[in-house]
Amino acid sequence: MFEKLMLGRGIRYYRRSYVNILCVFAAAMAMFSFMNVFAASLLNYTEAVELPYITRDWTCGFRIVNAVPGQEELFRGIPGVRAEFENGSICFYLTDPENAAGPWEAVEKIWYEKFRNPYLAEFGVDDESFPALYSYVGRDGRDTIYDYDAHRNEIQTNVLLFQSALSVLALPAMIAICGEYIAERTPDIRTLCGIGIGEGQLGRLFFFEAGLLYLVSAAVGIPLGAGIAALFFSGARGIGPGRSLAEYPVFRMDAGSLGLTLLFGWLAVVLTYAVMMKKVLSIDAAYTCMETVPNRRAERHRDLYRKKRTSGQFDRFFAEVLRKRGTSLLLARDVLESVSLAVGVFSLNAVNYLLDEDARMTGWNRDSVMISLANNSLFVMLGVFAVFFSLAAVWIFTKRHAESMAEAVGILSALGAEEGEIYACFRRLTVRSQAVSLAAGFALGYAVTLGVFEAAGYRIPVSLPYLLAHVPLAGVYCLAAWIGAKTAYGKICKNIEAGEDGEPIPAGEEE
Amino acid sequence: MPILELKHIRKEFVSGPRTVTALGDVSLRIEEGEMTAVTGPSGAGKSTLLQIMAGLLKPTSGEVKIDGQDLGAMSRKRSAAFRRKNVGYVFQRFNLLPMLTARENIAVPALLDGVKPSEESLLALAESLGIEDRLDHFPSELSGGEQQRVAIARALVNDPRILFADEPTGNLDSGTTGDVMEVFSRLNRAGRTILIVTHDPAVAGACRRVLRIRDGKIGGEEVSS
Repeated sequence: MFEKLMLGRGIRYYRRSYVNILCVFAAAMAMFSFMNVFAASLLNYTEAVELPYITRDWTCGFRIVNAVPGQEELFRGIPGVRAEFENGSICFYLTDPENAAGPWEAVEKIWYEKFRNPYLAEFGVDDESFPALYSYVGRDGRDTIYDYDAHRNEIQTNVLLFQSALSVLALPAMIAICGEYIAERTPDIRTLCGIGIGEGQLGRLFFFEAGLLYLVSAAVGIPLGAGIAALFFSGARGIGPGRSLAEYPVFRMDAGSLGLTLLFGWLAVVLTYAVMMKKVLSIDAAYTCMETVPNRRAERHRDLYRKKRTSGQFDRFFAEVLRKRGTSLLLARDVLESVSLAVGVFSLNAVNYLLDEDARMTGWNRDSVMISLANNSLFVMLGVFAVFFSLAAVWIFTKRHAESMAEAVGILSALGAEEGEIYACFRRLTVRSQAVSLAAGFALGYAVTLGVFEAAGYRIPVSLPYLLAHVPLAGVYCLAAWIGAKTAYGKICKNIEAGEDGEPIPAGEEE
Repeated sequence: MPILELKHIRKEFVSGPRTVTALGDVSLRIEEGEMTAVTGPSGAGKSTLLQIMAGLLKPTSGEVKIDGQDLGAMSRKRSAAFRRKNVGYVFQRFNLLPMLTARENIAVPALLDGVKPSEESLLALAESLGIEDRLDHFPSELSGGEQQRVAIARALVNDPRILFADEPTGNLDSGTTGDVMEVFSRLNRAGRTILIVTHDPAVAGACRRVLRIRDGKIGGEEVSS
């Protein structure tokens, strides 16, 4: 009864916090869903590359690749076509190229009846999940497929590595956004403790919330992540392995991948909930205990402010004040950004490492780069996903930090600070935070890269294209920080509501 | 047997390298049906004392007994259940839950006990405090005086034996202060034990017993007839 009342009303009252939490949770669920569906589809892919497929070939006209010796007998006796088994393929030589339509239809009929349809049935699909479009990708393209197949174990090991890295990325984000929510709800929790709420009742209240958030975020995040994976394996054939498998649907969202996604998500929510409950249960019913420690007088603050303003140290001084007041949020944001950047750096090097010797980014031509991307799309996609998840989370944290600073900004305004001066404090804070995050991210990324690839004898190349690839990686974070500062902090500074003059600035700004 | 008994209560707060002694060796007894005021300057330890008496805060040392039961010996769970049944607490800043209406705020302690208070009992309580027509409003739609009455109603909904009020008129004007004190006096006449922390002489004057606290120690006591 009590939990239902609090949950129903709480959702409406704290809807902004709920939306923020849901965004982070749903993004995490999307990430888990993407990873698992991607892995399941990748398994299909590695099976599918060994299945026969039919393609045009400039040497003989048509060819069934991955055929078994003896299967050419099925095509013997078709007028106008000579079928031969050569190098793992059945080659069809048209004896009368001017009248190819009839013979080809006969070949196609047998192909469908004896090869494709049985294979599709064996593959576990009732219907085609995308049209069997014929696509000529060229010899280079097929070569990259064979390379991909050869690297299967390595790829799957790396999928696991990425899964771990992305989980490490998601958990701090989930814990930090929930921590901020608990900070916002502390007065309510304190009141409830004062009234006499039991630990079990408090636990149930937040457990129901966590369960609800999990369900909604799963409902939003799982289709989102699976949808991105589906796009990758079907629609985005231009750069993905799906392009080579037009004949076979490799995308798979099965019970296993769904179950694993739900399990990953639930574990993440339970871990987040455990950390959250530790914080909640540490909240004391006594709300004024530290009022016995005398507050510093407002006049002292005014003097300090005037002194700093006169000495031109305003930005530096209050940037530090603002930083200290939002330590947990800023720390979470910086850690998230650093880990995400490290994943990006690892991804960049993984792509570079897996490229063929002649296709490495030591050359700078379009074909080389496109083949590299296609060949290593797994790493590209996971890297991009990690970066986008982090950017979304970083933006939410920046917004929350700005919102939590509203009162301090109001007090500064009441003390006489102008909009530009206050924004300069935030700008300083952002620049400093960004510099630390980038440095930490690159350091961590290269430490992991060298650690993982050392055994493989990987040496970081010093080439212009490789070095240039770091610019967009770092640039996207700087751009996100700039947009965050402009929108979140800028908005707070523009909508200054002056606080009560003389109200003491809470702890954190002491020299 | 006194309804409330404190023996050698000491409370220290540690703030960085500093240790602040909020209360130093406080002992007192409150008899059932008393209306007592605790007064003293800011930072003297009044609120800390009240919170220790109500079981919201654990003392560094000493013993607190309500109706003969030692609060310090209770588990957190049992202490919460005991407080819900026996203690009503009125906060200085009302501390109403902002997402709930006045009616729901009043009902919360009963709901925590798994009981939904009847509409009649809620209405009777609200009428006794003059807020019967404000029950469906949210705290943000109520005046300071109305919020405080809702807070008092919430403290009374489980019919506690002892009511604690921390500066209940601290945020109210003199007219509303008079109204709130009238409510407390009426409750006391009906036999309720009430303890009020205040630095308002008018509020203290309405109480039969006044304890003066200074630097964490009881510095004097007045009992009017």
